[in-house]
Amino acid sequence: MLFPTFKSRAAFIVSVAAALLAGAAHAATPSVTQRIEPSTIGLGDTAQLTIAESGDGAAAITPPMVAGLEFLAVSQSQRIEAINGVTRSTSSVTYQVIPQHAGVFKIPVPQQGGTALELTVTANGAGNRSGSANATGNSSSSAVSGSGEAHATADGSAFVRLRLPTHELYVGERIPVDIEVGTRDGMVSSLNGAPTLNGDAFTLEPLAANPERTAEVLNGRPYTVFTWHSALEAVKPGKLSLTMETPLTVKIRHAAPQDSFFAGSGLDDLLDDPTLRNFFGTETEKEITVASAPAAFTVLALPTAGRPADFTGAVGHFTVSSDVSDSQTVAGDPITLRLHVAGAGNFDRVNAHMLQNPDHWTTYAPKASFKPTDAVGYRGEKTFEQPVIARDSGSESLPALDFSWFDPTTRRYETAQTVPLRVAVTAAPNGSPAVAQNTPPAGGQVPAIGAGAPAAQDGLRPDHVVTGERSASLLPLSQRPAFIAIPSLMILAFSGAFFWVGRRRDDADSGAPNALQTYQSLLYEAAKSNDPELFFRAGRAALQQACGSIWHVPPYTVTLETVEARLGAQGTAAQVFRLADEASYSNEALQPCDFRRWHSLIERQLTEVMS
Amino acid sequence: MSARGIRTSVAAMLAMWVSLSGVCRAASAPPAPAVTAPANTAAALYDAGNAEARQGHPALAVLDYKRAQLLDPADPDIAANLHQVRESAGLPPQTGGWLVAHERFASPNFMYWLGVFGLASAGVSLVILRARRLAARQTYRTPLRIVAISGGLLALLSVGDALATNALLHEYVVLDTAPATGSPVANGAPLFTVIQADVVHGREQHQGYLLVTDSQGRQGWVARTHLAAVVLD
Repeated sequence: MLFPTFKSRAAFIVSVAAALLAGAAHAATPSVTQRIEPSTIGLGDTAQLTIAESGDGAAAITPPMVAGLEFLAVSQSQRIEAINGVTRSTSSVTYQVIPQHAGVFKIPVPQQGGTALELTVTANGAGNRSGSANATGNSSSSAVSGSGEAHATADGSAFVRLRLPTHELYVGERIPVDIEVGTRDGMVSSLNGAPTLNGDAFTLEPLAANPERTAEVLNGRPYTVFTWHSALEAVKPGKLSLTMETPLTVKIRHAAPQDSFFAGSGLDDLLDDPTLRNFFGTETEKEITVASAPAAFTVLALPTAGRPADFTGAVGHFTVSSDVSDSQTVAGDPITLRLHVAGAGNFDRVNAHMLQNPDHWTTYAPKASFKPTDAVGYRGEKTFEQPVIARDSGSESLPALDFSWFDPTTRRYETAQTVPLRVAVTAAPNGSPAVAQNTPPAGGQVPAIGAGAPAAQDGLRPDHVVTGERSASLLPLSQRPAFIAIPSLMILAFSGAFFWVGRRRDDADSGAPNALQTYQSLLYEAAKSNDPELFFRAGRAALQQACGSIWHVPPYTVTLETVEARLGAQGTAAQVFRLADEASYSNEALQPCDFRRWHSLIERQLTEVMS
Repeated sequence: MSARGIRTSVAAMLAMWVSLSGVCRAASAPPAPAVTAPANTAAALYDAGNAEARQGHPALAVLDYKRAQLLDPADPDIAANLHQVRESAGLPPQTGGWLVAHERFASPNFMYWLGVFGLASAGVSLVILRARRLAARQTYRTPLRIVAISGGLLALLSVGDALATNALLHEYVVLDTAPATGSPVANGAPLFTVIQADVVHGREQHQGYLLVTDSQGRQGWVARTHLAAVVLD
């Protein structure tokens, strides 16, 4: 009964204190107001419900119970004011409303006579997003002119936003994209990786390991925003969409239980404050994945009508120019014809055919190089370099070069043509052209680009003298089934031999100890029965068995002479052999102590032999 | 088996290994006169690669160099010219791969025979140790154990090399710049372009198309006519 007693006393103390401080305080009637913003949202979006309660004797605010809606407290406040001697407390709690399905929901008002709120959730996500958690951001640091929608987590701890310049593009067209991940300081422990693309109809340039980092305030909340610059490309036509996902770790704070020690007393409002509950609550970490809002695209196929024959798939905005490394040259000396394609687009598909053996010129395979002017290779210049050699002297002209691409702005194929280049070619010193017709120079070497360099300057190391035998196949032996069988068979053969040898050894070993144990048992029985003849004969047989096993000879070939020669004439074994011969005809009796002594000596001799 | 028997066996195994691997021939044979490039020797393939490079055929040159490298991976000239041709074709230096990453000292075939020799040495030593007659004497036991362990290590080295060599079976040289598509059909949506003379790894074949991974890690289907396998089976 202590608990209710204490609560009653606390209520009494608070009442008295309030009376002393406020004098003749009037009891104001408690009132509850609530509002929801916005009233129409799409499925997957959230709204904010604010419940405010004012007046004396107000009960704790609890979230409404509505099937299909989840209420998550995101902020709360409490204010106490005294005006003309009248005290008034106001509490408010803001909930994030997360719909589970589409429909019209009625949120009841916890007060008689109040009007229920109505929340409309549309299935296609076309709700009014103004003022909701899904806000439109605008960062000045973005490299992409378009804006994106920030799709936040339920608790607002993080969001992912895509900045795209357009939502209509052609197959193969490359567009720059900024991927922004915002995290609330103190609510997100770590980003666990770069964003990943969800959408198999698109390809994304690899993201940098170190994104840009900026600060941004969104919906009144400060965020640290990480930005990756990349380029996006669609691989098939149609109405397509994509999202980006980022794994991260968020901190979740669990408030202390609401059934406080002071529940029911007048100290509830002061001591059972949510801030205090959070202070005494616990914090855990949870790994989540936050995704961007789906970005819808209309991907168009490249038109087939009017497609140039030399079109190689380049889509974008390009300018074309050409030049030559030297406008004056000697017949037979190589110069370099260069084609520059600059602009923005999918440079990996920018290819040029260059010249194909025009009149008076010998041409070689071109090579290409690309110099990007941005981080993702969307803008830059691709240069094609082709070695060419003038065959005749005089004022020669290098023909114009064509390059075709598809311009997504004009929605048609464009073909640019460079101007022909004039080159003054003087005759070779010996008066004859160094290069005959459209064939490689003598020796099959492409002359080095420069000033008529000798063949050895092509950068290649010289030929080798061909030695050694021909190999019938380049397939390594270790990958040919027949040769794989060789080590396999060897392993089988050695395994078989290993176990066969071991078994033979074990068989050979097993015979001697068994026979030896038999003789040792017989030796013991003979001593027990006081039979000297049997005793020494058993001792001799045991020694023959042991010596034969170790010397790898049949036991019966171990004689007194052998034993004397190998173990000594005065050794125990030799004495046992002699006594065994004598005992068979002397019938001399032995005392029990003699049996024990000889038994011990024979056992010791056996141990020495076997070891 | 006596000590003399062991020495004879080891000598016989060494002779077998040397004759099989061709090391003996290569080391002692006098320099042969230059001949017109026969197929499938490292030098001939290297010379063919040089000729292709000089004629402006970087893809064929890379193909010949890669094949020459398979037979003689330690030759610095092959590596240098392969690097030069790739650089001239605008390709980045080749990274990864057993040949490049480990600068292996011997060809896959040499490593194979080394493994066979190691396996034979280890097997014979273990069987002798198991017989215990010779192994009962400490004089022979320790050398036998050393031979068994060394042979086992050589066999393991060979197995590792064989596993690494397996990746070479799936290498292809891009003969001419071609689109890589998302599906193995003629009008498949192009994903990216494989560059002439680049080396790609084939993963799966389907009706004249090969699913490849290029040097940048991108995957796409490329018509088989645009590719040449480094290792011909």
